[in-house]
Amino acid sequence: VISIRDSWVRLRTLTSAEYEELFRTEVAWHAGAGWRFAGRTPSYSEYVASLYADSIATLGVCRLDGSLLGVVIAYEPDHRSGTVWIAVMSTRQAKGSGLVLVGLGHLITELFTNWSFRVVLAESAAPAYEQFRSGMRRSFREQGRLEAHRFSDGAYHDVVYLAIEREAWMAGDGQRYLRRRAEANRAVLPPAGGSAPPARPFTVTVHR
Amino acid sequence: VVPIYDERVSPYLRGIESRDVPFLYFLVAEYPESWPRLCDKGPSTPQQFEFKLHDGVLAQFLVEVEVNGERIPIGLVGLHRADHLSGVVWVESVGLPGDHHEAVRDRALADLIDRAFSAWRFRRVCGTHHGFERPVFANVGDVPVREEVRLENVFLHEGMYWDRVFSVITREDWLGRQETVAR
Repeated sequence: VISIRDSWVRLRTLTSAEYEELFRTEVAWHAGAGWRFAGRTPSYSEYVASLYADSIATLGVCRLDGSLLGVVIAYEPDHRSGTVWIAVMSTRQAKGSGLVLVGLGHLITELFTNWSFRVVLAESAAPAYEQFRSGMRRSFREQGRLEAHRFSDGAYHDVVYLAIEREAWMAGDGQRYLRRRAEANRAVLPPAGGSAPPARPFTVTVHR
Repeated sequence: VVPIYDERVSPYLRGIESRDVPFLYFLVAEYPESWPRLCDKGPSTPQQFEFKLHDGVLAQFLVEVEVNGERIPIGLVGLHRADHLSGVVWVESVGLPGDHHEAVRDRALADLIDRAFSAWRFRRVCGTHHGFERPVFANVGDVPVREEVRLENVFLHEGMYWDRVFSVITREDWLGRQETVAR
């Protein structure tokens, strides 16, 4: 069990009540035909199982008061080659705040600190990638894009493939950028309790 | 032991039956890198293997050749990870190594790609291979193959890190191609 906490967010295991919240978020009518299930509406049990499919870490990203902002997942580890894939999902309220990406940054640090992975891989629909690419060039290396590969919101979008290498990430640029971005977006999501969170260094706790 | 046969022979494609599983299990055991869908997550028991063989598959066929009046299996071609929303499907082609086996399997793969674009409404047929392997669309006809993604140094094989490549054939390119594969 991994638990990570800083002055912005907390990463912890999901509760069963949160499965329902996530299911409602991802399978809602207004969410459109989600790409994860290629437009299908999965059963609730299939949905919950998908959060853990070939996963080594499925963590809720929460505000300090415990309310859920999103989920980060590390999946399909290849321990022989030292690679693992990551995924991120935000609740409707947290979209645009950048806080879930701060949580994702913690997960990446965890994967390079307490696991022996060399490279973290990610795929992202191009519209989502465009929102954070400018600040991430030093940490995320684009590996190509599958062109017009995913249909959503009435259009075909590219799918971008990214690699994050241990040395680049641990140099700190990526993590710093994610925090700056969240700070710039503070107005989107007021901090828990209605006031600015106290500044303190983040801590990582790993219970095995 | 697979007899030598004329590499110009036409492949026979048929559905997977229980009696074919030992041959396919042999392919996984002998050439695991060539079948990432079944091997990336480590070894399987025969029972797990039979389940994974069909998991996520849209269509797959055993590739056989006729030698001295007898049909012998040389590999498998299949479509999996079908995304009908986006019109995308992935192919796999695995089998015995050797130029003559690969030449016949390429013709089977070309037939399967043809079916992907004619029996379904897919826009893109995608394939993946490692840097040390022969590209999956190496010889399926005179058609542009777009290498769109190259994940650099992500697969350890015989002491070296190799790229993993994603390649694509589009519907427009396939339907407009000049067929060059010998029939």
